[in-house]
Amino acid sequence: MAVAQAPVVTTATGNAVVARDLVRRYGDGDCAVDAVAGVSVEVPAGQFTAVMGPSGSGKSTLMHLLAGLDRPTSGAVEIGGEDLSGMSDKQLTLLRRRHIGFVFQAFNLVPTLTAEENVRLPLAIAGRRPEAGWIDHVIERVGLTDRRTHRPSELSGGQQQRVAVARALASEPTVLFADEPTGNLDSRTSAEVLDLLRDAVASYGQTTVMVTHDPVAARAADRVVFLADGRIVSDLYAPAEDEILATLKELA
Amino acid sequence: MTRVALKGILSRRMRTALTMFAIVLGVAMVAGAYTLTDTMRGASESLSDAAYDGTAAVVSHRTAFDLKNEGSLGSRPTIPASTLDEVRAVPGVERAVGSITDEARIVDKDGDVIGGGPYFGIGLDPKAGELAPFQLQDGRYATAAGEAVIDAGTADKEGYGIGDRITVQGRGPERSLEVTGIATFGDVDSIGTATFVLMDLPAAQAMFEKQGRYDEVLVAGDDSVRSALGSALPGQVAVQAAADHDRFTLDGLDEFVSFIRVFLLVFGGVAVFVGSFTIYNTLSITVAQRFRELALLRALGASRRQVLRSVLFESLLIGTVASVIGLGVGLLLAKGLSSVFAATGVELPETGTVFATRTIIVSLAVGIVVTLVSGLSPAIRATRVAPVLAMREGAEIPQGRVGRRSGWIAAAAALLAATVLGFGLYAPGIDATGRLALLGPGALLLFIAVAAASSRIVPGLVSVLGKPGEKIAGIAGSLARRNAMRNPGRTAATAAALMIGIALVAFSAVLGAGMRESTKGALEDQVRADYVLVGQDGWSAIDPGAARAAAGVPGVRVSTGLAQDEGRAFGEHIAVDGVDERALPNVFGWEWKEGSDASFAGLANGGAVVTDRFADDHDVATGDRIAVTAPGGRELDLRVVGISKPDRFNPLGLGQVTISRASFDDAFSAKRERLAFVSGDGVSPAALDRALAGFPDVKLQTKSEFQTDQSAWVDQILGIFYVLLGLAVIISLFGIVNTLALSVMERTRELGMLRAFGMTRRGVRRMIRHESIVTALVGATLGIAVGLLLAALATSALSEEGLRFALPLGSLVAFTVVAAVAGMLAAIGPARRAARLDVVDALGYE
Repeated sequence: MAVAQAPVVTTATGNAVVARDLVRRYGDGDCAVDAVAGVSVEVPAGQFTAVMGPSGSGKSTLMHLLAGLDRPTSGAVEIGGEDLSGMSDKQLTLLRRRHIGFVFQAFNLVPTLTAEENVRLPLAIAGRRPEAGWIDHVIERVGLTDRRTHRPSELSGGQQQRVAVARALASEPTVLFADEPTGNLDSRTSAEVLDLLRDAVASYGQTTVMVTHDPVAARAADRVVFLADGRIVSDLYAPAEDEILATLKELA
Repeated sequence: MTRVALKGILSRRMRTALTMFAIVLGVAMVAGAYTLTDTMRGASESLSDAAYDGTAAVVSHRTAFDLKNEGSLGSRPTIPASTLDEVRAVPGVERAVGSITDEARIVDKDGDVIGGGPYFGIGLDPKAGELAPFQLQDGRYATAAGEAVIDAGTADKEGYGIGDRITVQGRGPERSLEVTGIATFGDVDSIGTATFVLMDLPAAQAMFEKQGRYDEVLVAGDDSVRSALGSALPGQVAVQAAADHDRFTLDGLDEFVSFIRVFLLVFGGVAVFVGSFTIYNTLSITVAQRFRELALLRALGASRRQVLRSVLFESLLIGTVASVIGLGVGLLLAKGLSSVFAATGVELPETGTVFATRTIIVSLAVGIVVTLVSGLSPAIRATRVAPVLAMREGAEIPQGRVGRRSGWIAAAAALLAATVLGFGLYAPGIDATGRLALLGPGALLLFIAVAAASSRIVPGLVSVLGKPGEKIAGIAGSLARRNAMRNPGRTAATAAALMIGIALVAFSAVLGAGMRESTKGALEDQVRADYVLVGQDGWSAIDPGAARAAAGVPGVRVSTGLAQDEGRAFGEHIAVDGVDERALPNVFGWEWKEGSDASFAGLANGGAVVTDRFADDHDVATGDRIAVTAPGGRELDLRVVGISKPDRFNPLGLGQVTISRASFDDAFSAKRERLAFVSGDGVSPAALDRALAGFPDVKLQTKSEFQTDQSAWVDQILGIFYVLLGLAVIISLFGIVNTLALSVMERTRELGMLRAFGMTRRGVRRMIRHESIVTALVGATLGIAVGLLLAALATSALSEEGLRFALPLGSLVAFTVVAAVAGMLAAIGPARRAARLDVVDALGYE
């Protein structure tokens, strides 16, 4: 099938994340490489978007830019209506507190904290007090009520990643970024984690952006954005698995 | 494998530097101690050469026994001037001159005594030639009354030149002399805190009330002249080699140098001991972090032996380089220490710096051996890394044998410590010095026991000590508290190093406070006078004219001195006090075991009051007769009229036997008084000051001033202790820096996650800082606990000497605060590094 540029629908409201003409250049002069070479994308609120592409396509860099972890060489990012351009490191940090949750491939739980304490961590960092019952609710949602006092070392990989999902959801972020969330998991636990993410979108309208190279994972998304050489080459809505595979094959 | 070790050191430059620092400081302390004391000993030897080499014999009054404090009180009687003629008549005597060696203080424009003693006041025959140790630098010797030659050091410091007038106090009120010359003692430039005034012989005899008499006759000739003199002269004179007679009390200087050497080496040992903890800890962490690399080496075919050698080679290299640097730093430190002593009023005599081969060998050996020994356990642990670990994700190095057995080590060390301390404290037949000497190894074992046990104590302690941080710093504090508990062994070893320094500081502070309390308490009981007259330095004997001068001030009812000299009774060396039996009870007193203040009256007719301890030791009761011999040979037959029960703590060094002043002056030659007491009604202090203006060696103090002042030396000593122990604390701080830096590296990814979730750079810094503070507080808490325990034991060992236990709460709080601040400082570097991490890089960190 043809790889077509998806029509960009510009709406002032209803978008959780908006990126315009993003470029991220490493090095300079002749050695300069554009990891992200002009990406414009809008992520509407409540949408589950997957970003796919071969290794080195710039999908991780794009995620870092969209999440305010890295600064673009040019172009602009808006999260929850706030323009990130010109923000200081501190402002970016505070913005991440308000708007962003993360799920990492390597879980990245704090080993000294219990499961529940890990879930509470983002709120604690922000100095926010959660509403009564909210944390219990989130933990119950990921099915770890009986594991809340366990340390990460006492949990399986799948359980750890469920804690990480709960942690990302705890602060009710504008966008949840998941970076290869199933990369370290077997297929059964992968499915559980994807179900949780899917469920969060369905139940709370949680806007989610997931970087993955796993077509099975991508199928859980509402929309799959394909990246190659730092550019968006395809933007599919609710694609079937064979459609995803075909696109990937074309990019490889 | 050598290459791997070398590359390893180079790639971990910062860590290697920090580890080296611990050794550098310890070695520097050892090298500094040797260099400083060798230099002092060199000076002391030149002084001795200069003072005694040209003199074949010294003829002086025989003493009935060896004097212990000659010079300070002037116990040795003089000899008649006619002795000189007798000496000159002996065959083999090439030359003989009379000499006066007494005390004379030079007083500056503000009325303060220059220098810190000894204050030599010397009557010198201009014909003495090589019999005099002095070399004129400028001008001429004094030839008439009213003239004086002074030492170059004083001339230099005070800016005195030929023709200037100086104020000198010998016996009686001060007088003004003209400087006719400036001299050195041999070729030694600085004689430390000592000063000298050289006068014409008749002028000195007059000044010290020794008209027609000499302190000694100096004889030139060959060594055989001594036996010739011995057989020719009457029995009441002694013929000695100049160094044996030691009229400049240089033996005391030698003893002082030996004491300083041991003193500094002990602190050097402490620094090295603390350093070994830091080395052990750093190398352990290095091995733990390198385990994948080590496993890879093993997988590539390296044998265990090769791994062991590679790690040991790394320690050897670090140890050697650091020791060499330490040696160099030690030379600088020797100068620094010299200034520390000078700043606290203990100026040391110096000639050229003496840098002995022994210093080099010992310093290098100490540094290298300690590094190797500290690195042994981590190196052995490194050999246990299995090759397969290289392939396994998230594998951890197995705990070493030492780690698993730390409980047993702690128990064994604790048992040994208890045995040594228990034996030292409670075994019969050990004197106070012996008991204190056993405290040293006991303390060392206790430190090892606590350090070995601390990995078990640490979690609980951190949990408590981290609480306030949690309140202050919220999530950063809470994470810091848990991070400190994360690797209890590591936190424990880091804190243990600090513990040692703080324990010794706390120990000193508690003992110091005890001494202060005991001094105050004892004086409170004994002194009943309104005012006390003491030497400027608080302990030197004062001119008896001072008490007489004070007696003339309107309103003064009593003004009486206490004279003291050495004596011998029951074959033992004792101190004898001479007091005015009518005046003393009004101004000074003690508890009685037998008798009362009225017993003092009994002193008048050959009576004596003895202390309860003396009475017990020699089975003496009231009414018994005792025999006391004076240095000059006079034997006193005394009747015991009372047994005193003074405070066991004896800050004034009061004698075991007290007799009337009349009998004392009759039998003893000490002219100066230990101190004097003044009481009266409506006495104006200003009038007293005026009356005492001619006695610059005397300080007038109220009773409470006196009480405080008598314990001022405690603060001085504590000051020196704190400076020296500060070194150990600094070394342990570098250990904290090292551990934190490594932890930051290990937790890079976690730090990235925290930053991603919105922790600010400031929050990160705060987290690291709090971890550091908690670690430091663990060290401080353990240290204060151990220090208190040791101090309590030492106090109990010294309880027979009347030492009280006092808790210097303020100081202990201050140490805790200092530890916390030190922890903050240690965290600066690692915290900054952690905060600077790029979030994206940190998240991708392997």
